[in-house]
Amino acid sequence: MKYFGYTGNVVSIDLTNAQINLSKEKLEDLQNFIGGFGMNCKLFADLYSPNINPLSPENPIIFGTGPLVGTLAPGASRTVAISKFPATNAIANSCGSMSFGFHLKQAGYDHIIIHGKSDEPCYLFIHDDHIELCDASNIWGKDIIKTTDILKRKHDSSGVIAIGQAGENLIKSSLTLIDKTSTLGRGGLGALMGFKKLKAIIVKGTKGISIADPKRFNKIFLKFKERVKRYPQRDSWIELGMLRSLPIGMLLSAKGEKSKARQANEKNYLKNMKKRRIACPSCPMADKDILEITKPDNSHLICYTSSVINPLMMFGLKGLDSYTQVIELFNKINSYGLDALTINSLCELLNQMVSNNEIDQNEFNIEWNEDFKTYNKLLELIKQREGLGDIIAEGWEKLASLNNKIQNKMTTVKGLDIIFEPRLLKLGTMEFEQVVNPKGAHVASGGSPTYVGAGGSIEKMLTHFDRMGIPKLAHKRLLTPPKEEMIINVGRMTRYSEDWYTMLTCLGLCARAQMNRFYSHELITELFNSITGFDLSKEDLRKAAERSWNLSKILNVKEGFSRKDDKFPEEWFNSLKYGKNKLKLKDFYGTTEISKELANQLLEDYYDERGWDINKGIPSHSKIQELGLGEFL
Amino acid sequence: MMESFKIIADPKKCTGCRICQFICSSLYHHEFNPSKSYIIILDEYELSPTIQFSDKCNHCGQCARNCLYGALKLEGEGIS
Ligand code: SF4
Ligand code: SF4
Ligand code: SF4
Repeated sequence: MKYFGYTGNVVSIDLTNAQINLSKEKLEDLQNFIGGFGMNCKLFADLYSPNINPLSPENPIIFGTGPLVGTLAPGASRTVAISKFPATNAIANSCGSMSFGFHLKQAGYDHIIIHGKSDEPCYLFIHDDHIELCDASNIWGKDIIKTTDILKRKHDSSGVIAIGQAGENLIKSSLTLIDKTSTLGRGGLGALMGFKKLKAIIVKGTKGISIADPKRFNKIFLKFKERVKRYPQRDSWIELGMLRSLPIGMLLSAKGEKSKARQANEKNYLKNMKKRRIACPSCPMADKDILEITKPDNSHLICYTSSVINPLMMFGLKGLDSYTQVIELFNKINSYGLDALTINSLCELLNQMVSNNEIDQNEFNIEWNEDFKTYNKLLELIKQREGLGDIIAEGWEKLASLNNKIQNKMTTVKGLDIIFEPRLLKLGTMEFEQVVNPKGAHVASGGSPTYVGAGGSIEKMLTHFDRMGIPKLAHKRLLTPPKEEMIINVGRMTRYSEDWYTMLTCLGLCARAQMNRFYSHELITELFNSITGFDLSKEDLRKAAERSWNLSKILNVKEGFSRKDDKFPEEWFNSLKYGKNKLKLKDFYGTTEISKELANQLLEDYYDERGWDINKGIPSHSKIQELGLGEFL
Repeated sequence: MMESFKIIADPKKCTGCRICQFICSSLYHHEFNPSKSYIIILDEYELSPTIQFSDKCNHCGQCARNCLYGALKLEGEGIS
């Protein structure tokens, strides 16, 4: 049997007894549950037993890639990891980029399943058919950057997923970095690997990928390339990267932070931060950053990041006065394998509560000041699990148990802190998604017109609806909000944004706005068919994505999640002080304040659009039957 | 007769996207396999990559025509 695009191979490694097994994927499964997102869910569901401790040998971690990864398909670089995550106890796929997926495919595998737990620190090395568990005692205790450098020096060109001290010390919000640059596994993938004593996975491959219909593929590629070349904004995207989509300087300006705004602007980025632009394999719209800054003591610091906006977002923190402090702090967070978003929210919350005298500093065991030194000290405490750091290491719930005022102020969903603040950015699908995502506050599945900058007009919205393959029959419902002036129904639209994102992630394609804009439902179906030799219709592809999403939801229902957990954070219904302004939770067009009743209505509309049980917020029996998921109940 | 070009590489502009390698390996080995490509991009995402050509490169220029970052340029035209 010949596989195209896919390698058809799954490698399983049991760390407890160092056993390695190879298995083949069924062609039928590869059409029903596609690639990184879909087959990850299927493989996990096949191994799954409910209600186990995430940090136990019985909780597997599965890494996967899509059928387009490892080929020239533009922007096909995704690596997806599924497991039960310690920060939320939810089962979820997490997604990253850079070269790991590419190398894995080139080595001849679609997925890696990690079982068990090693007694001693180890790392997994895969080079084509050579699969080896190696001693990691010399890298245990090192940060991610050093670990990756040592491994790449030893094994040469390769893709590396590594954890830092945060993962080793089982910090619940720890994550991993791919090739030092792309985050993977928000919500505790670092701790999951740390528990298994798996410091890193390093893979390199030379086997190559054959595709089913090179002629058809070449035609698609040539057309795609011409569109990319003609895109008038391409040069500025390459120059500015993600700073183009989120002008942080403007946000800081609106907050009245003039000096910070100047430092976070494009000019200063180009002059004093940007060192090199890098791309994931096959990407024509590179946006990854290598930054180099000169610190006040004249020493230089190199910082690798998925985007410069990640460190610059931290500029909102009081007491950080210069961009060099921001990048230095971010670099430390990254190197330890902590989550910059979580640390940022945490520091903001503590600043606010201390200044309002809502919390007793003695409870912290550190003197809390709004400054660079205190934030650094906090990182050390978390890394070493000391005092307040030990409490934070256990996650938001533990912190809330310290003081019930914290509970009310936290903007978390299912134990994960939010990424996008809707009181600032309005309630688009990304913001709404954070409430319903089975993983907890997560935004990746929100790709939609409210994300890719459709502007305000309905005509543009409709163009995107078509591009994303939203069925015509649904258009009217999506344009029927609970109140007419809201124009769009964000609950209903989120369902199709999730479908779209899931299709891209199944195939292995990048969802970032500047790549996303070039794909359409038709194009990605064409790419899939020309590469794999399958003959799926657009609707088959969308159904496969929907099937996978529902399967991941079913697993979480078994974990006890339901509508009660899809909760808008209480704090969202209070106003947010932003500079001189007080911002309220409003709909995407900013016409209507979202009350709790309206929020509930939007939730129900989301469940309804998904064909789920509205009262329970879970897949209905008829939906499960329709998708052929009965065996997983 | 195949046209043959001199290819000027500018590693400073290279993003490490490997598009050139996908193109070369698919042309001459009918698979996407950068390890078989005649253009060699040595890039572990550090400050600067290295671009080399193997002896087997026939200067067909396809890698350069598909480099979207201006890191490979065709100079002059020769006949081989
Ligand atoms: S847009 Fe960025 S994240 Fe997406 S494939 Fe390109 S370099 Fe990678
Ligand atoms: S196509 Fe151009 S930018 Fe991409 S790796 Fe090759 S030389 Fe570098
Ligand atoms: S010039 Fe032709 S043969 Fe040489 S590396 Fe480029 S594509 Fe390959």
